[in-house]
Amino acid sequence: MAFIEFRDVLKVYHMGDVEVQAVNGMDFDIEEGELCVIVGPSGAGKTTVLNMLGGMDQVTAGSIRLGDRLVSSMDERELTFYRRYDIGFVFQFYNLVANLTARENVELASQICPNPLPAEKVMAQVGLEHRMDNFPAQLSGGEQQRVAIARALAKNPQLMLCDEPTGALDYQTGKQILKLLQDTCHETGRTVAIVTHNLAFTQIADRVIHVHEGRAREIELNPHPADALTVEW
Amino acid sequence: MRSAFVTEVVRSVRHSMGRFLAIVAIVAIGCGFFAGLRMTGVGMRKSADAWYDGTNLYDLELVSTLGLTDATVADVAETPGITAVMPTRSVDVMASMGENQLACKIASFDAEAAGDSTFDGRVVVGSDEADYLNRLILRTGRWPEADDECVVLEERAEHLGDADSVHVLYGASSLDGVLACRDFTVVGTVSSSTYTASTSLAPTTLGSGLLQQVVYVPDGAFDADAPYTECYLRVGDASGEVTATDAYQEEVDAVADTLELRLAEFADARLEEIRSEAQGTLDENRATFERERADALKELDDAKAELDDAEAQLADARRQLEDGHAAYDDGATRLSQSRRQLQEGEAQWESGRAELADGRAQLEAGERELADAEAAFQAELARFEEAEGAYEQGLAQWQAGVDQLLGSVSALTGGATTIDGARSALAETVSQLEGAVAAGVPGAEEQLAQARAAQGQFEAGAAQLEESKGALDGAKEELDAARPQVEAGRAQLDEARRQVEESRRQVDAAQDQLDASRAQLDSGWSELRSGERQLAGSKADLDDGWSEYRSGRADYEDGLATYERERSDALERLADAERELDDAQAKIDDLEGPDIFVLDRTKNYGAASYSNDSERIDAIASVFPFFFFVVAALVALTTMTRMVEDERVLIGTYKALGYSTLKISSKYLAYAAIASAVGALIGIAIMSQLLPWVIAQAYSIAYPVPERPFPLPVEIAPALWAFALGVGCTLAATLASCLSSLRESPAALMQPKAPKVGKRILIERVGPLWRRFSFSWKVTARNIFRYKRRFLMTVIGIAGCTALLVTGFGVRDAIQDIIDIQYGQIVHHDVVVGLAEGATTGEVADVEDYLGREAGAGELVDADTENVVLRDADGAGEDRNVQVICPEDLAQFEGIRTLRVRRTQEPIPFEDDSVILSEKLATNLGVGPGDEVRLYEPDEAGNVTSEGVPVTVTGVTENYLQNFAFMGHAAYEEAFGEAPAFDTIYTTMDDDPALRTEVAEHLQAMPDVDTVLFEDEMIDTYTTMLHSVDLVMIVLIVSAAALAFVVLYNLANINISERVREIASLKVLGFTRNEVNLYVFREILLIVLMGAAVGLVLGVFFEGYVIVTAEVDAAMFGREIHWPSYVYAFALTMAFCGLVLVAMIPKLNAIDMVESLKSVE
Repeated sequence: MAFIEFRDVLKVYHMGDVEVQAVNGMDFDIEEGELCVIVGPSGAGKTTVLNMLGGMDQVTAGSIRLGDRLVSSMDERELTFYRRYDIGFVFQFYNLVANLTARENVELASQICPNPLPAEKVMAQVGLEHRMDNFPAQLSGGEQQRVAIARALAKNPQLMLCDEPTGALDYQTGKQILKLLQDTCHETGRTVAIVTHNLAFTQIADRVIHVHEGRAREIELNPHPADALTVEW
Repeated sequence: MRSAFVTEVVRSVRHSMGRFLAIVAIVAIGCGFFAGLRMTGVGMRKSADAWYDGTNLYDLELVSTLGLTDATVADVAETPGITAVMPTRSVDVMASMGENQLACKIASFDAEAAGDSTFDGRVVVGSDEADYLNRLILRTGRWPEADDECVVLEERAEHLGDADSVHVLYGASSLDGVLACRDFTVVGTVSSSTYTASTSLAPTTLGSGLLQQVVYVPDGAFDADAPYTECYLRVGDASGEVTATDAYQEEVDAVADTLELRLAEFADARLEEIRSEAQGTLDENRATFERERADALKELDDAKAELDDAEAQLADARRQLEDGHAAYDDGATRLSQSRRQLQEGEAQWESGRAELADGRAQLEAGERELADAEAAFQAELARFEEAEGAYEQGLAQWQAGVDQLLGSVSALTGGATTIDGARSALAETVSQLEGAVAAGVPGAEEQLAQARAAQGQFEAGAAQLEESKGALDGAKEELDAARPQVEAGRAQLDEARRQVEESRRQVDAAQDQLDASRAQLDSGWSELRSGERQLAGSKADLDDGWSEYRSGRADYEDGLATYERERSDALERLADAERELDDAQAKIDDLEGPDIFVLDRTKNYGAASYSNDSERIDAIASVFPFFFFVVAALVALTTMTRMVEDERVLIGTYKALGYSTLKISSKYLAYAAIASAVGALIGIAIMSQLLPWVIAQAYSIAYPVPERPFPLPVEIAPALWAFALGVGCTLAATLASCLSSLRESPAALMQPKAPKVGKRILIERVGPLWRRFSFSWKVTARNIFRYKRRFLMTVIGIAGCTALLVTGFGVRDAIQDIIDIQYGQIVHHDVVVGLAEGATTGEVADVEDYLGREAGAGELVDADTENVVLRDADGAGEDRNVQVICPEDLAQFEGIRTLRVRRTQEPIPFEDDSVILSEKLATNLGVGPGDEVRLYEPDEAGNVTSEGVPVTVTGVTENYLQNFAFMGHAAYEEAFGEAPAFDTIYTTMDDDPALRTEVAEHLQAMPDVDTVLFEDEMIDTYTTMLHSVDLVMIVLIVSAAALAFVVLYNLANINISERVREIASLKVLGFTRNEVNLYVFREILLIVLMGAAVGLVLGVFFEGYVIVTAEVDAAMFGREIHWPSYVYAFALTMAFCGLVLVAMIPKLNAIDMVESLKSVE
């Protein structure tokens, strides 16, 4: 049994009288410790996948499993604790609390977890041990995203979910962030899922899931992923 | 193009209803309060003006201390500007009304004009008689038709009870020649605009110092010759102006000034009138005096002659009595001599009798001895004779024994008659027999044995007999020896018997002698007694003579003393009378004109205090709304800033499209203008009705000014001011928030506004503390100080809310304190019984006796109470009507009244020279311990005419009702120039209403009882006042709540909408609902706490301002806000906050996590 399993997942949104099938029979697995890239064009349903996998939205039908837990059958309260304990989320726009320093932003997450990693340690891990007491506004975009990654890492989650982590960053910085995510995955053995529309990212992934019109159109395994720093786009 | 823009504005209103309503609400509150409070003061004055004009209330009053002449009244009427004149008579009296004795004013009025007047049901009394001023409004009953009928004030009719009569007891001055009628029937009740304040009609010198009722009587009830006491005037030009306004005052002052110039002339006219009247009376009196003096002197001389006669007669009688006395003394001497002789004889007789008794005693002793000796001798003799008998008997027995013995052996002896013969016979027989034996005679042996046996027996018996013979011989010898003794005893006894006989004869002879001298003495005594009786008779005659003389003498002395006394009295009386006449003459010569005053409505107790109260509202109106406007401006500022920021991109787009800055900002200005205008209109519309009504309700207890009908007229000036201020503030704030954004370039505007940089705050410097904070507290702490405007708006708004509540509850406390402290801690008596001026100590004692014995009163404290006027040391400044209390026993006084410093609660020492003022009085006079004030004794009309006396204040005591000066005896004497008369009694009594009614009735039936005042009547007044404050409380709580809701809703709304992204991220991070709620609310709660804390402090100042502004001279509200009031204010604020936050929870829950994924706009 795979670490993460999507089985016949269906998600229907009601927009007024119109029904929109965002995800329509999504099926895929992700193994533990893999760096997985979910890729597809806008509107393919990858954000919906992300929402459901991240416990921010519930499925209309089908099942989602993470480890031995059936995410698709959790109620709102269980989902809250699922997000709290099992998921580390990295947003496209970092979503740091402007009024907290970098360290405090990390603590914000770690303080609500049972087994957090020390803030100093994760900050060192993302290479920001010297900027810990700066406020987000005093950090560059890349640095802010590193703080966001540190924040996700500090929770010691089972799964790190990244939503277009380089979307708001310049090319070089983006690559460094990707590198950080890749290293995190390979060095700590943590499962990382990156949602992106950028096909270039597929090179660095252990597993690539191509999403198209609400389905996993193709799943490719990459036995020798490229180093993130060598990727060009 | 233009319509598109308008559409856009309308849409933006519709889409941000919450924001729009926030501005509407806060502007409504601010403008409403401002306009409402402003209109209240004006409205009160207009209500009064309508009433005053409707009832043709006087503008000026001419009052004279000695009355006014008809000519003066006519003169006054001619004064330019004066359109109506109404002279009246009035007098302050104590009158009994039902069960009560009240200080009343009896005032004449035009009953005929009143009877013909019409009333429109509200304020207008119509009459054809232009000179009918101070028109009364008939409330119940009918107008008086006879001179002994009256109407009284409806507002104070509660004193009347079921009774319908007024009985005048006595006046402040003599009522002779003033009142023609003393008993009136009450036929109706009226309202009078002359007495605008129903609780304090006017001061008086009677009773407790305040008038309690006004009795309107027809002119005929006054003596026809009584002068007018006052003259009411109407100034025509002033009737168009609103009373108490500057314009009104100007018109009235102009006429008053004209009149003032003529006052001396009026006074002279009245003086002449009085002087000629007085001189006539005096001349008559002097003639009478001369006649009476002559009569008196003649009577005195007659009496003297009679007395001299009597004295001569008395001297004669005395001489005769003295002669009789000498004769009596001689007789007495003689009698006492013979008495002495008799007494000597008596002594001798007594000694003889004593001797005789001695002799007789000796005789009796001798007789007793003789008897004893005879008895002893007889006993001796008996013993001797007995012994003799015994001897004779023994001898006989012995002889018989011998005979018997001899008999027993006679056979053997052959009848020997003596023992020795027998013995020898026997021995012979025996020897015979022995021989026989030896001879061997037969049977001899046996005979020998028998003989021997008999010989043995005989020997034994002979031995016995010889023995007893010896004893008998002994006894015989003894007897022979005793016999001569017995004989000697007998001879002695005979001698003694002879001696006793001799002495008996002697004693009998002495007894005979003694009896003879007794007879002599007895006859001497009887002679003496008859002599003494004679002497006593003559003594009694003498004594009678003397007592007759003495009573005659005493009569004479009495007569003389009476004569002397009467003589000196008469002379003194005559001298007095003469002096009086001279004084009266001097007085007439020195007569000064009356003091005539021109008084306007500001000198009218009720009108002035009503107008002052309306100005107090104005004062409060000038402070409170300012505060609302500040909050309104801040709310507008934050709201509009937020709106502008929300629409940055839109503004950028407009700019890029080529709209001018003005055009773009006009959208926001229009938005703000619409919101604030709507708010201002709503606020003004509601509050211009509500506030004046509520406040009028609160004042209606004290002032029976007829209320205006709804809808109340909206005063244009305050309404415009309110509107302009409300809209102006909002627009200014909006403009300020627009301009900063609009200055940016379109390109910059298209970019998201850089989030406010997180900043370190001061508290972070305190490392140890900061490290203990959790991240959420850190965020909270930083956020609070990040948005200063919002922070300020909320703190001020919430502070205002709390402060309003503290003010409301505090004012309630303040009034409650009057009741609780004044009657719980300071005043300990329940009843005050005032006796009439000049009551004697006996009358006071009677009342006290009744109180203590039947009314069950507690300790009785006597005091002197005087109603005086105090002014500051220079004699300037306002008159303060003050009750002086000078207790008889200063220590005892502490039992009925606590004197203490309010702040420290320390008792104030009450010494002989103490002058302790009540606190409000001292504050009004601006004095403290050690300062000087001037004390005036007012005349009967209550006016200050004297120079006054300086008095040094020694203490200021806590007191909430009325003005008092507590004075020691020395201080009193110094101030009043006479010793205090303790004619007021303070005491405690059960609060059983039946008992009190009974006591009141009984006391008022007692002569000289002036007032009976139960303190709980005052408590009732203030309890009613509390209820009216409750109405104000509701307005305050509602506005406080509105303030809190608007501000908090605004803050919460902005905080949430601004942080949607942050909140969504937190949700994604796995924060629970509660954690998210707390994350947002903690900050709001903290600001609210700060605001509330500030509000508690601010409230103290607000409350203090309101209290000091609203309180009247005669009362001091409590100065302490009680801690529960702070708690209530705080709790209510927190409750309001809680309500807003609870209302916000759904909004927080509705935030979608997907928001966190969206790009920054």
